[in-house]
Amino acid sequence: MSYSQPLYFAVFLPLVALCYQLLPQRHRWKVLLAASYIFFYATSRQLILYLLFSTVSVHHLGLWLGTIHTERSAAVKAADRAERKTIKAEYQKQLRRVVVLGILLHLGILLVVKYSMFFAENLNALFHITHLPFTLPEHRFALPLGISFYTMQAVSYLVDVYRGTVQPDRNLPRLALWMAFFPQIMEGPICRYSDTADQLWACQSINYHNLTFGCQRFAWGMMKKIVVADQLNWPVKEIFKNYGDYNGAVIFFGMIAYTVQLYMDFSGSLDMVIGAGEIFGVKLPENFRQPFFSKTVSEFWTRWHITLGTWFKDYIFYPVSLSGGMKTLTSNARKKLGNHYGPMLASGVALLAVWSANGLWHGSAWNYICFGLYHFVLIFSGTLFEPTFKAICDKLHINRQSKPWHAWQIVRTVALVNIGELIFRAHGMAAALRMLKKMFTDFDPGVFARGEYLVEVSGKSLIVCLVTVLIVLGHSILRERGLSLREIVAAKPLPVRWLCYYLLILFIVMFGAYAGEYAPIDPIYAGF
Amino acid sequence: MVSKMRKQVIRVACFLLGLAILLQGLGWLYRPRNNDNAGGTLLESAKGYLSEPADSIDVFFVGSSEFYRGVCPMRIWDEAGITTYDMASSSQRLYQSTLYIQEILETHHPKLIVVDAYTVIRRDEVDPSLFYDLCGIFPLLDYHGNWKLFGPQELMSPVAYTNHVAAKGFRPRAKAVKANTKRYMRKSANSTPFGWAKQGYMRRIEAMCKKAGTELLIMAVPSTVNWNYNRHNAIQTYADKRGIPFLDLNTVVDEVGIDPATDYMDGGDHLNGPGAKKVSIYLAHYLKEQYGFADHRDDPAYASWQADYDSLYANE
Repeated sequence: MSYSQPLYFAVFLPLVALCYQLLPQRHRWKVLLAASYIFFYATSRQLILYLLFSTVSVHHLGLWLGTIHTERSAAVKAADRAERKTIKAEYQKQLRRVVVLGILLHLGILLVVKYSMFFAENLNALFHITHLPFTLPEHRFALPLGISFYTMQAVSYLVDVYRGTVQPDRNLPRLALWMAFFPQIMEGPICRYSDTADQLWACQSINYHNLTFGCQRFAWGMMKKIVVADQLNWPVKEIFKNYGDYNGAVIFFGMIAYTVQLYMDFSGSLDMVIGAGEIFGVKLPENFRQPFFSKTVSEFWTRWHITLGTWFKDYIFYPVSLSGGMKTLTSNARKKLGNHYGPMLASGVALLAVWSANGLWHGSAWNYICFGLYHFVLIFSGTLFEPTFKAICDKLHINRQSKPWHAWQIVRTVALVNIGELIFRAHGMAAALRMLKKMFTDFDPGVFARGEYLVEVSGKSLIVCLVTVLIVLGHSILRERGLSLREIVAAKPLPVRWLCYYLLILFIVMFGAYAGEYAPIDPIYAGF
Repeated sequence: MVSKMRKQVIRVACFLLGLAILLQGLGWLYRPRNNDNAGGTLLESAKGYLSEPADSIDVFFVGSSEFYRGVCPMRIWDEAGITTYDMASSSQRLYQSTLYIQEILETHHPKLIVVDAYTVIRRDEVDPSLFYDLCGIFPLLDYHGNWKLFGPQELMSPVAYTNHVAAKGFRPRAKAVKANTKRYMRKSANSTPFGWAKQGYMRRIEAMCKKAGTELLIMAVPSTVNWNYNRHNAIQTYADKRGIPFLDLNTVVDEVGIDPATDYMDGGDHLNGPGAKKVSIYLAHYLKEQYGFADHRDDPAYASWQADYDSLYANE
């Protein structure tokens, strides 16, 4: 059951909303929790046991951490000033042990379920090459729905309780609802406990504003997903699978089409997720902020999959770069390499950890790891060589605050991101490199003029995609200027508003890629 | 407060009503203009019946590729003078069959509708079935892609079904690949589960046929890959319970004369041309004996059927 299929948006969601609204406020959480587990069970069947185990274990570990915090406070209060430091350190050790246990437990499940096959295959290949007499069993586990998303939520909760920024939740159903809330379990956003747990538990009544705004956001997401992403599925699939048959210009088109498809699929799905949350009065965190207006790759990742980026920043980058060893490394390096290059060493190590994890999070394959490392190289080298770039620009009298320079930066970032997405989508690294090579050595745009590219793709479908992309681009420009299209439309008289809503719905119905020759397509990020 | 809420509910209802009207309007505007691909019809071969004169077809075979590979209407015509048509499509599901039977009964009044037992028993997904139910209400959902085919001129043109399909939906293959019969139709007392959703669709088909005065038959075409006694038992139990006749040709393959070495096109999944010929001749006699269909071969109103037969098989 995916968000863009009628069973979800025409039956499941309205039924849940109806039951939710009909029940008194104190019972509404039961509707949301039951709906979340039904949704999970409908997709993953008995694998729901993973989610139940994670929820119960996170709850208990959180309470355990809470107990240690309470005991520490009491012990510190009762102790002399001189002893306090020792007591604090003692309890800190205990807290660390428990949180490490929790992290290992949850990441361990994720590693075994999602990555054991990948590691076993690679180790077996290594054993074979080195003639070592070992063979690891290669077992592929069935993946429960959203395991990468809810595991990260679970870890964030444990670390936040460990840090004392979140109080442990004694209420198991509230924690369970926060872990499993059905609109977000499949594709995120990765919510922090402090962001959404209380909102979910508040179970406010569905009001007219939330209902209409939620439905509008949902429909907007449907348009991105069904009209563009699903429409581009076939040409992208075909070009990436049989790239050897195509000219570099067609591969270039495939690369752009995949980036567009991925953005429309993921951001569209997230619009549907946030819209569904809005109906229940839950404001889920935004995951996209016009990423294609970024001037650097680093900025791009603060605008694309925002909740994943902030998760890595808070739970990997800072803990690594601010650890004792890294602090010593920074101070030593600063003395030898100066104030710019000195601190880069520690942040480079932390950045490498973040991007290796980012690549692996997306999937258990080498091209995902290379995708992560590619971004690491871009971001790290960008920071490392910033003084050099600045000096070159100064020498050439380039005004780095001018509009043409900003436009160039945006184009450059989009180009680099597209290459990254090609690595991400290609069938292995070797294929990615061959595709890139073809783009530079066998590029003939004349194939488009001669109509020799994708004969099975209707030109009209591509025009519809282009029009929709322009609509989304227009909306993004408004957002960049701090304007909200929904608010603008909402301020118009009723006939104008309804006309806009009807046009949006009919646009999806008429131009969407569904039924007939189109097979239903699962959201791309649900596979991660 | 209550009046405000009432106002909001009325507003939502009016919006949805407006949307339903628009969907129906666009559905009418983009309805298929002809029963071929260019005219906005996807199942060109299966929908060929739309260009046949109204009420001219005695029997419709509604189902999956098992039917369009295994039942040859022209052989039945040649053998018994009964007019039949394969309203069959690849991987057809029961929810699709339900919609197609509804469409058939809008233009024809056949004496018998034969539903594919494989379509009845194979597993269905809930989501697409819901979609096809919605298509029954808003046909635009089914043929919304016609915007790619129709310009202003096509939109103004009337509906005219002119695509005549001589083979009557039959799509034969000559290739023969020996079938594996090792586990085929081994006796079993077990039964494949027959879910409530499927029973719901079968009830709807029954109701439609009853309303139209059309008889209903469930039939399984020989297939060593797709058929077994568990499936047979499930359908037989259901058919007995509902009083629907069930003809399982897999239980009479020797009588039909099916040779697993020569009569399948793909190792037992589908029959090939010679296999279909044997099944069709058997069916011609079965239909004549069980339902007493009149022989139209000497009727001048059905001259086109003989012409179609001649165009396909005169050289045999």
